[in-house]
Amino acid sequence: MAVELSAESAAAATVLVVEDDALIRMDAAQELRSAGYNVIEACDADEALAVLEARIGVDVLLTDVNMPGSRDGLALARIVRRQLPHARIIVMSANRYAWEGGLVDASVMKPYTVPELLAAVAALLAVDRSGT
Amino acid sequence: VSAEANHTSQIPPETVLLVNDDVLVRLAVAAYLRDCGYRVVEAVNEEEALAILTDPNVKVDVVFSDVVMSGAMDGFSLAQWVCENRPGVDVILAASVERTASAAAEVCNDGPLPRPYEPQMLVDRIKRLRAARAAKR
Repeated sequence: MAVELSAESAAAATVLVVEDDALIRMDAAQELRSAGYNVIEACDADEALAVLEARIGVDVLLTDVNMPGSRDGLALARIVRRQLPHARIIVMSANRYAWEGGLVDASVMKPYTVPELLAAVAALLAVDRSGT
Repeated sequence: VSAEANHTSQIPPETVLLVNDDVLVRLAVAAYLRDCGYRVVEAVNEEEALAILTDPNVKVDVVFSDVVMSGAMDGFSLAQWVCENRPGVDVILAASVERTASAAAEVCNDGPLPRPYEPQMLVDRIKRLRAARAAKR
């Protein structure tokens, strides 16, 4: 599925990528930057929470599930859902999980392709959630 | 921070491997370097840096690392590895001068970058090192 994202929405969107594998994180971040997004890289949930505490705006949380640190990706997602209700949440995982209702907006299965990743982000950003 | 935008003469852009375990510092320095025209690859610690440096698909020109890191290696160990295994890569270490002056001189091409530093100081250092390397060719 090809999802077009306008230049304006791509330029305005900030994606927080949370992944403990440096090479996977690097590749995802570079592809997202090439697509026009602002990207913040975090190696675990603790770094991601430091970004949130600094009140840096995040439009999309793209997080791994199983990570070292004090919290896994789902615990991070619960905090983001509570603190940033407008943010979209995408999880990356090699396993299929049954998320609790409303926690996750989309998921990409590892190993994912670049088009799959970009389509997942663009599709969520294409949905106006400003009124929710 | 206002970034300079005069780094467009170098194509493709040089790649800086930024190694720092403070996410807020890392994202600020990375953003500045990108605004200056560099491609930036981020690593949280020296172990991640080695994973990137040994990936055949990633070309790194400059490593900029804090000396004191949270992982098993410190910046000196990383700098030593780079000197021995990636002689074409320049290394810049950032730390308090008191702790690192003598040690850093042995593993850095140009001595330590004293903390706290302004991002422009880092860019100036990168330019100086790359220019010196280019002049040797």
